[in-house]
Amino acid sequence: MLKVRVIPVLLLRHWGLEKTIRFSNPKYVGCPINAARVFNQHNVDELILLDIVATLENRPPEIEVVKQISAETSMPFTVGGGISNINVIRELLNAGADRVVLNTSVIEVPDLLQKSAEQFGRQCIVASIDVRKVDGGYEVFTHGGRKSTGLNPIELAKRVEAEGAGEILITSIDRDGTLEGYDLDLIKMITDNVQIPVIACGGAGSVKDLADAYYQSGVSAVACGAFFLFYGPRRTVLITYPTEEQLLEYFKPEHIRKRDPKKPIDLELSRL
Amino acid sequence: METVTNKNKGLKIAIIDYSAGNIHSVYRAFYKAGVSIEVINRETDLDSFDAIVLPGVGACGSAMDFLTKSGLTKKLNHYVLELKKPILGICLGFQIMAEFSEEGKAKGLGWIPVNVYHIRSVVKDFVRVPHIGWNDVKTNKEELSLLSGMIEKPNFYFAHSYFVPLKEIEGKLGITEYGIPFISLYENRNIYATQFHPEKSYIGGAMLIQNFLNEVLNAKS
Repeated sequence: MLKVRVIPVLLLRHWGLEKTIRFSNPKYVGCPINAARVFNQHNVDELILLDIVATLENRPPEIEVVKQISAETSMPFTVGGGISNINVIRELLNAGADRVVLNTSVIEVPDLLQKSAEQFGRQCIVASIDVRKVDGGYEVFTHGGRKSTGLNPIELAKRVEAEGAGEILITSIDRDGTLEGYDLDLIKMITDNVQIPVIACGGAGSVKDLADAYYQSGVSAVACGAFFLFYGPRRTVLITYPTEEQLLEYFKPEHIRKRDPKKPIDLELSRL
Repeated sequence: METVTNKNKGLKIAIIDYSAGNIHSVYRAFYKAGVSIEVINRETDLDSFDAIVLPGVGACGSAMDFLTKSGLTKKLNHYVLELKKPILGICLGFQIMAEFSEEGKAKGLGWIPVNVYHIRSVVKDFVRVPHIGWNDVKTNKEELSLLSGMIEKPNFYFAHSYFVPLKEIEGKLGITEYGIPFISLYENRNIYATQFHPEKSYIGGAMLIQNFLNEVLNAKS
């Protein structure tokens, strides 16, 4: 049976790692390569890296960061931020990323989604949709939450599915970094309207939040940033990831990935 | 100081690059195992390699086009069918070993007597497609060499929209469920293939690659 994916999301600014609250007040939290290495040691199900200023600076994510992370890990990882053409996608995949995330360009670059899905397969392409509550309704924002689009999230979700997205990353801007739990209404709106897998993001603060999203909103994966990066009320930076035992408190055993208990040490020695 | 000897050292592995995307991770996984690797992207004499890896990114039709146009299909057929030397296909690399793929209505290499279908054309119940994430691999009857030493029903990372529904064929099979049972691992004589990505599956994946290299070492001696 397919397992739930519990995915840490790392926010990049060039070579630095940051964390925001409601998409603002970025706090520097360290080096993304170290963080990726630690998450690799935690055996995370997958990792997502998003450069949050790339679109504003009109550039793709740092290829070198992707290369180094790929060299030091053996987990699936997905990269996004400022991707506006097919050559950048090819470069990122060649640098070792398994999948790419398109957000602003889904709306601003016609055909990119369709062409990239045709070329690399739709399992490679994640469409990211950032949503904020406006006047009691939901609205899609681009450019890291700065630009209003007037689009309804359901409408956009259906559109990206039709154009070739292999998965949707749905993020609640209002819940980002708050640890208050996911916006289940928003997430359910998306999962009810598409047949591709959906990743929930924004607001998780406990394993219970992860399980609630998984069992109540039909997502295939649950992503979070602050929950895995900070510890305690003073938000000390500490990278954590739930253990199998912690997940088992809220998830059914058949939904949790089985990890091989063997230590990688013998295999790592083989290069010597 | 104790010296660690590496039995993989000296093995020559060719990785076929059909310029459709990411071979970096596959390269790293074999590099870590200590073998010497050559990346092949045009017609080359393959006979001196101890094993070949067909990685998997892109679409079936364009990968087959590339192999045919570059002249590699002929070289691969000779290597696999006549020399009978070991080959490992990963994801799309597995699918192009089939007879036919619904993806782009493409004819495959035809080494495995199966067809590749879109998940949605055969699964009646609702499943989300692509199939992305970690799933169990169980064996049909016999123990698989590639899963040797692993836990029962180990989990591997999958990312695909097309698959090979379970069918009785010659060879040892690994089976995964997604709507219906499908073939996620195949071993028959010198042909090895996985629908999942061992290079992205942590220690289990590294063990699988070592198990493949053990088979290569056996074939060599």
